[in-house]
Amino acid sequence: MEAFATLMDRYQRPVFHGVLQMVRNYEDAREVSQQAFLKAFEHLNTFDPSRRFFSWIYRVAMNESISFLKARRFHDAIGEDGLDPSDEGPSAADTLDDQRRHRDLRRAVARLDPKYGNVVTLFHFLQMTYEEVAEALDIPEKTVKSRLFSARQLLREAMERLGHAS
Amino acid sequence: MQADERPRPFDVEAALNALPLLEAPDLKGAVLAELAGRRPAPRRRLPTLLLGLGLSTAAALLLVVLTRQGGPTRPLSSGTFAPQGAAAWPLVKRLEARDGAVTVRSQGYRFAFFLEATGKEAPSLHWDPAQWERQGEGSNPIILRHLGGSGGVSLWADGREFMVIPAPPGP
Repeated sequence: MEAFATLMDRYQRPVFHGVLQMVRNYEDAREVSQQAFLKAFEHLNTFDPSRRFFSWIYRVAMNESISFLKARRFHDAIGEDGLDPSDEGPSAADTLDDQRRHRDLRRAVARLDPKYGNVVTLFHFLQMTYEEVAEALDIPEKTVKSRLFSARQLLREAMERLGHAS
Repeated sequence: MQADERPRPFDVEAALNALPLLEAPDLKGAVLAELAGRRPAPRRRLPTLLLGLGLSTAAALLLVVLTRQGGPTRPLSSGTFAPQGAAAWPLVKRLEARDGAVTVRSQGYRFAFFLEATGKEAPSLHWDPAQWERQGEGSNPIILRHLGGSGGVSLWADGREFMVIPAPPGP
């Protein structure tokens, strides 16, 4: 149990953000991430030790997210109001423009198809390398790069439609 | 001149890198509390298992033979164990077993493994291959094997057995 706690310290943040990208609601992401860790604990014997642990737990979390979405028929009711925890206000250092840009960008990322959203989350938000993203998502590195390229293109278009420019 | 008046494209990469990450909630407390509250599944005894599975006589006999070969599995001992064969594998300083999890301490790093008491084979978990690779051990997985009849566990690396966690005292 102590060792599992160590694993949780290390991976709860990236797992949570991966799930958040899928379920698009902070509280739901918390619940689904918890379920994913519980499921991982129950099925540790299925883990292939030649692979990275993060890839495995991330896939467990993605499957858990998909089950959640199917159960809730979430695709019919996607909203981004629950993306931020309600008790967190913007940082005092942020200007109004920064706040607006962050909010719009976060929503644009949330609206991406999960196959694009996941690479953005892992690469940009969690600072993983191409290689690590490829392993976590079980896709070739060149697919990671092409999805990142497409995702950035889609985000750029979305942000420009909202009147944001550099 | 007209080109200068056009707005520059939005630098999405810079914006993504500058986007503050939402604070992740602490999941650990809730998950560990949930796990601690669970009672272990009752052990299935062989007769119940055979009845439940409705095995044929031949299959049942085969199962009995296999089980005897592997021997019954007992829970792991808990505690800290001095490495055996440490001269052959000096990196390992200490090995701990508690609640079915085994932790190997090695020169300031800690490697954790989890065991399921399956009786024969070697489910193992190496939680941080990157750190292990930094120790110069390559990507060879470390394998923990239940020792069947003895109830202990042995630790293998590079195809060699290095140490044994002894079985708890018998009843």
